[in-house]
Amino acid sequence: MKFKLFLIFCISIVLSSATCVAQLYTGMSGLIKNPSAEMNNSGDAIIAGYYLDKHFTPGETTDRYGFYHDGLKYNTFDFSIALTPFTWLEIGYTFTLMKSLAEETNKPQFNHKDRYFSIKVNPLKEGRYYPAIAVGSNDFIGSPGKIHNDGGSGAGYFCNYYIVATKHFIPHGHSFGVDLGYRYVPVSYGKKWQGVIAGATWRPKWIPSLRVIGEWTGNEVNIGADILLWKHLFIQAALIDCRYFSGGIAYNVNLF
Amino acid sequence: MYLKAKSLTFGFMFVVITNIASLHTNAQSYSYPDEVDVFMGVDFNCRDIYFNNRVYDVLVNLTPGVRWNMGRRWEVAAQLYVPVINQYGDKYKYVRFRVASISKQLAVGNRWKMKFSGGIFTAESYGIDMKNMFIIKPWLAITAQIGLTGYISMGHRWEASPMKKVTFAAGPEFYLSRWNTQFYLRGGRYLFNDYGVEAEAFRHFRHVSVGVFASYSDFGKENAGFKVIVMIPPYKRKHRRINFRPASNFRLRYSVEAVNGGLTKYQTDPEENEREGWFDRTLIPWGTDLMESDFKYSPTEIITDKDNIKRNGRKNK
Repeated sequence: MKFKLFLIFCISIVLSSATCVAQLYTGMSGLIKNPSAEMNNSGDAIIAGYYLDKHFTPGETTDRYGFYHDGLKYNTFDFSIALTPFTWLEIGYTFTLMKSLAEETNKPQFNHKDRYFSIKVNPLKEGRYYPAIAVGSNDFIGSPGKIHNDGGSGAGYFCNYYIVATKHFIPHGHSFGVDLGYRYVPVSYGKKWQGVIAGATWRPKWIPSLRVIGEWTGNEVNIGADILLWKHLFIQAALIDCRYFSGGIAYNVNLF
Repeated sequence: MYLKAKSLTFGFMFVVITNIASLHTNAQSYSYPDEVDVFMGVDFNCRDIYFNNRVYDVLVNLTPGVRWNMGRRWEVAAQLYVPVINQYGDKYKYVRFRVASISKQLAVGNRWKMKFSGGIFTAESYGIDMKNMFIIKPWLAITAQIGLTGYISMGHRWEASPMKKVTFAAGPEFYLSRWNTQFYLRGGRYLFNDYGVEAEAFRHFRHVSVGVFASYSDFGKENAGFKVIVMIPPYKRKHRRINFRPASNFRLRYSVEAVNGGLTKYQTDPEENEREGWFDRTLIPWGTDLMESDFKYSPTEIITDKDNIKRNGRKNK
């Protein structure tokens, strides 16, 4: 019985030809921490939840604000929604849970959040001899409340701007993707991820909805894999710095 | 971008603070004369303005409503707030009207449509309101709204102010049918006596519309956010004298600024939403009126001239 269930599971994966390319912690298309120039299909909407290991979140314990409490960084979760209204545009919104010790309590808990918007534009689609190119940003809108001294840190923990190129090769039915880009981080929190970024992906021809990922973030190497099951359920698992687990799950639906 | 307002900087506030997601119906576009719609939705609000050891304060109301299409595009609608979960405070714990209004729509020529409303509106307002749309091109129309309202509260204390507040907004509206995309630009005077402008862009899908907005007002300063409108199944309906059904749409508005009171507006219809606009889809169809209808009725009924006279005030040409 168990074998039959496993067989059905495997067949359903193999038969699933739909793909999704989410950089799941933001809901946008991409790799793990790196963006890519791949875009989701027009009309794709993604609702995602992601577990972020403390090595994934920006900032150090010496910063004024950040994902730490009592001198120690903590693991957290984020939730995001993203939409591809056109094949050349993606927009997303993410909020990441943060801990603090509230008054009259003795144990810190998730009681506030950081939130940010993401955008990616794809002016050049991938051709036979040239790569797709995308430019984009996360956490690019400053807080008006901060600007007008009306509250809010306006930290921009996840703020970055990037340009990235992606090219695919399909030898013998396997799809190999290569990504190369540059990420600019204007805030101190994520400065270690500024610089040249690169990645590689592999979609085996037997399971086209599966993607194996390796990436250089500018600071460390991450590896992971993601898969789209039954057209709607997207799962990603990753090892940050090849050691620390992060991963998430998403519901993917096309609105057309 | 870490945002958390330390305190509420003004005493009086409307229900929508940070985010609002609400289930609504919009039956006026679909119902026949003398039909009554009884519907039920959920109004979901969450806010993040206090350090109180909660990520969000939550307010959930049931929103039962009724709508009577009286014919000749006259309509009466009423809707209640029935609090179910309330972390917003005592002000919101009472059953109260959200909307109780009467409205009349009409066309002037074949380019100008108007809607007059009076009664209790959302945003704790009451008064009279006039909405206009003047169609210039298939892709361009001008919208204008003006209202004379006062404040009314039916919460823990019944309060009302004289009907002296004049609000208005006007601007162009663009509809690009090839991409099923719509843009608005409006400026005017709003409920906090503030002046401001707002721009919105909507991409319409089969049963969902997603939009982004940016605004500036001299009271709330800059703001931005997004809106999602999901039309709720069942998409197949039948005409009955009294229709019981769930709410037909879910509307979510997310605002970046938690305590931004600028550009606050009222709605005159319980189910007003940006996807369906202010008017019946059969009244000089323009923009999203030309999309395939979200709700289809079966079996198809033959509409006679008598029906049309009652419904539109004239025979079909």
